[in-house]
Amino acid sequence: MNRSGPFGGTSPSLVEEQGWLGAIVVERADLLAAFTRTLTVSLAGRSLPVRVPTLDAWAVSKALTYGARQASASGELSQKKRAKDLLYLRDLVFAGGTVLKQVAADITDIAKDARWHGSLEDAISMLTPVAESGASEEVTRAGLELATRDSLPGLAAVAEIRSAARELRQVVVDVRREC
Amino acid sequence: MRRRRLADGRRRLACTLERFSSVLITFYGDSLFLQYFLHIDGCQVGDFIFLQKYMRPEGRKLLVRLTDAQKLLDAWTARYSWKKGIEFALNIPIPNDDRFLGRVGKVFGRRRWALTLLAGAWQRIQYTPTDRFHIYIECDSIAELRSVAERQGWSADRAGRVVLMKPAYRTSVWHDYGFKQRGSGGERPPAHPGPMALPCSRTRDCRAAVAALATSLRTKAVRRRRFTEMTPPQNELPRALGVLEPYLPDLILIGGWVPELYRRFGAVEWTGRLSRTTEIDVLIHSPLAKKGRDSLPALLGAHGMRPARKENFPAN
Repeated sequence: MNRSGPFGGTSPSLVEEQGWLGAIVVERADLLAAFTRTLTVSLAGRSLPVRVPTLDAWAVSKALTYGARQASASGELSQKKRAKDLLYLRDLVFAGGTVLKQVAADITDIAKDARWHGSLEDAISMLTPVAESGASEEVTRAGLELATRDSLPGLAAVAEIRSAARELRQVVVDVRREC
Repeated sequence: MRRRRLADGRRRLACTLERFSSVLITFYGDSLFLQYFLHIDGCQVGDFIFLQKYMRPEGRKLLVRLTDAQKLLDAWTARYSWKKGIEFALNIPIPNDDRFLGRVGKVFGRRRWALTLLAGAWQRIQYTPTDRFHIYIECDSIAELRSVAERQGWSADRAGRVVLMKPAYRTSVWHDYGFKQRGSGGERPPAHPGPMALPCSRTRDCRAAVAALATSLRTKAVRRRRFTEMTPPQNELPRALGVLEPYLPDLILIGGWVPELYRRFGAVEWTGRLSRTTEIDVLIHSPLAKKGRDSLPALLGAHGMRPARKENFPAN
């Protein structure tokens, strides 16, 4: 089966003790599992504790996922998902100073542990082509999606996608330098 | 056989040109990379000949830019043919038009639907020569609409008052699509499905409508169409979390929902908009011990969720 994500294998595997339930084996998911936070989510009148990755781990993982998709199948779905990854990162970076400061502060925790240095370096190298080269197909696509969503001129939206990648890469680079 | 192939080819080309036109109008005045158009469903490199007049080189790349919307709209309306849509008529008793339209929204659920321009005009001013409802319904095949009609007990009748249509121009028919709230009738789509879905290209009214649209495009007054329409499962996330509740301590929610949850429940000041996703991704460790709980398949099955594919895989 042709898949579009960063999967460690070509087919889903059964989850032990869970009957027919299958799961995709995702590469480098340990980062997401290592840095989590529990949010109290109130939905439909109920409060539920939901574990989510910290925003910095999520962002680094998104950058890695973007790169892993690049290396995998080059179909239409993969292109769409790559563009979507970039759009998610742009939304995070443009979510305001508080969010970005929080991300920068939390990435320090990741950088302190040598186990994750490789992931941070890889994230930097995944973001570099987006930040520095001309508009690639997925950057253009992400820009167009952003433009239609936020009613921006197309070129301005593409510029936002690239500057978000540049900003995030700089945050990771700065933290790596300090640690 | 050969005639059918030719007809299929013409239909494909008409749809591709329609999507090209839609993109050009959405990004009227902006320069786009030519490669982008390759991502448009059904597009082939040979179709780029249509874009030739909008191209200009910049370095080693080719940019595409629309500078005269009027010309494009003229070309589009000259090519438009209402005969391309697939339709079937139904005999449905309609004591009250508004209540019927409200019911259509409920029957077709999340599918987009819109009246044709003529049917919409009839709703506003009943001078037009029709009392039939021609309704575009979003669908992959007319068979889907037939099965919905059968479930509703609507019988097929060539002379029936309601004509359901699978739009051939799948992009432009939903151009600028939006709902208007109606007090008693519930949600109702706009009376016209979009400027490109004009029923007849050569009437004076149609030409006037095109001219008006072109003017508003020049002043950028027209709201930009959403390029990708997504229906975020706003109601699906609480439902899914409710089903997964016994296992929540063992699960980590990942993917596109994470920023949205932080924005709403993370006590961080979040500005700007977020893209939504239609998937709910969950990270687990295998084995996932039951520890006295019902298994996840049992929990999912009890809430009507089943594997999306034949293989053992995610539920929907």
